[in-house]
Amino acid sequence: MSFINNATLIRRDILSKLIKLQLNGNIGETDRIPLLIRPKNGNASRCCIHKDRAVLKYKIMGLLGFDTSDETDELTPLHKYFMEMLENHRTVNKILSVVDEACSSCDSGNFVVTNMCRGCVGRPCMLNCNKNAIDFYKGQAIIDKEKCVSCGLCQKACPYHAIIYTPVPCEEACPVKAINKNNNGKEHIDESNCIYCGKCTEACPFGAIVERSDVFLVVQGIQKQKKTVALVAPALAGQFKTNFGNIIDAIKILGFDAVIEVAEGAEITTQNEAAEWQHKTANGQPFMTTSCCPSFVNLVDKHITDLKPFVSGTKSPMFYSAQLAKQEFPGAVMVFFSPCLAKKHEAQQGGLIDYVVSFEELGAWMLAKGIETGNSNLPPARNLAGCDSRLYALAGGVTNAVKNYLPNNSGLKPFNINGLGKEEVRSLKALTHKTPDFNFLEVMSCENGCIGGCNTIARPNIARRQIENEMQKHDIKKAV
Amino acid sequence: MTEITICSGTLCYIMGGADIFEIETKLSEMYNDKIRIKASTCLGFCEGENKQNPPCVMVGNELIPDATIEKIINHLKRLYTR
Ligand code: FES
Repeated sequence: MSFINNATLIRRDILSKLIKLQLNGNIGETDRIPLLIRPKNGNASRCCIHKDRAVLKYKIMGLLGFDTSDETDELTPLHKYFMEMLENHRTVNKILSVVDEACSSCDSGNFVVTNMCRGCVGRPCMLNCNKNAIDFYKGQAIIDKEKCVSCGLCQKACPYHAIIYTPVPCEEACPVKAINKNNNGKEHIDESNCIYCGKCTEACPFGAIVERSDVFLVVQGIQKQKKTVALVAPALAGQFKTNFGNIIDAIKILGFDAVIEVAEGAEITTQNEAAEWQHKTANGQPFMTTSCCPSFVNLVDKHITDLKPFVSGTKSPMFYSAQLAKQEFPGAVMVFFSPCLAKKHEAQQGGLIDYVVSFEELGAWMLAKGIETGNSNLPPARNLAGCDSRLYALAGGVTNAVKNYLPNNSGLKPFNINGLGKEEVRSLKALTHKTPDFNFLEVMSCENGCIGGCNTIARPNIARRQIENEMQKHDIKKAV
Repeated sequence: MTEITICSGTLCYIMGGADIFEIETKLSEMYNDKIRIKASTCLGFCEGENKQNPPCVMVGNELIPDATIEKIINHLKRLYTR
């Protein structure tokens, strides 16, 4: 979950404007979007509207799946990229790109002395620095960056709170050091380390990290009357101020032939996960972890390979739902509606899902098409999924489902990691060296679980309450 | 009793309205029995002559365009400290 900021709102605005142009057959107007968002005589966020417009152009390119290296001619208009992408069904594997023009090259000085420094006689900052990194110049402390090791002692010692910590938000947020400065001082994502948690995209206050959007290809498929099926993640239920039935209805109005709740697939995940856990622990394995958060699976694959044997081999609800949907609607285009970008990566790897559309993109699409979610009291579409499967949207949901499924809990001792930060990664790394006092570990990369995903619209606590209320209202019972 | 009506029409909702629902956790307790927060369908300010910047929120009968939690709280303070 991110705090609301203008970078997020601008992204939503751009998305809906792009989709609207596509729906109305006006792609040629794409080049106007930067001008519409930063009109003449309006306010600029950066030095001037021209810089803002240039940044917007590159952000739009990023959304369309092009980055600076695709720009062979700076004069190529935006609509050409849009058209090329649609005509060639161009999808790239790259999910995230950093827009260099937007990246502010945040100074990684870390500890900085501000002018609150009064140049006191005590000079505790200088005396307590073990690296001799502090000097005084014109009555104020300065930190020698070459010597400073960012221990933070000077900050603690200063009685005036004159020393501040200046973070690089994206680097700070990344749990696995996958984003770093390149030679030009701009941030760069190392795909071989990236676990697609999306934390950097939320953290960057300049909105410089752009996620490729596939929503346009889905819109095009529907325009061409291709049979298209929507698979919606359980977390969608809390995303709009209306009940799930109405949200599903809105997706049908967008032109989908059918809408399937991924909570149905979660039923299978629960059964398989429970059986696998029973089998493995009976055979002496000390614990098993969940596997439905793709970002966590990536973390293990790329950074904690020792933990791999402990990760459940059960597939995610998205996978099982897609299998079921393929049987029911052979040949249809499968679109997963997702709270996060890690699912985009999972879908790319898995091959069952054709496109992933984020909740945010869904909102932008509804806006572009002028769809209002109704006020009526429709229950969820097919109502095949039980309460426990719907709760997969929340942290602790998988554990809850597995626990309820197992007869008398079967000795399940669960532990939850609710949100992956640097700290959590460290403790996961240490896990293989000791015998923990739990035997079932649920890991969610996002705090609050899927309702806290980087592409959600509603605040997690609001979404949680809405999902819980809805289950009461429609009296959705436990399935198992 | 003052009603806070947060526009949940598609435009307002995705352009910041969704975040305003968090106001319940930010209001001081003194408002507990004075305020009711509700969502509404499009309030009708997103188009036409009366067009306002999203998100729109009504505090009682008064419209707050381009609303933020802070703006709403300030408005409430004015209402209740008169
Ligand atoms: S969407 Fe809020 S006024 Fe129309």
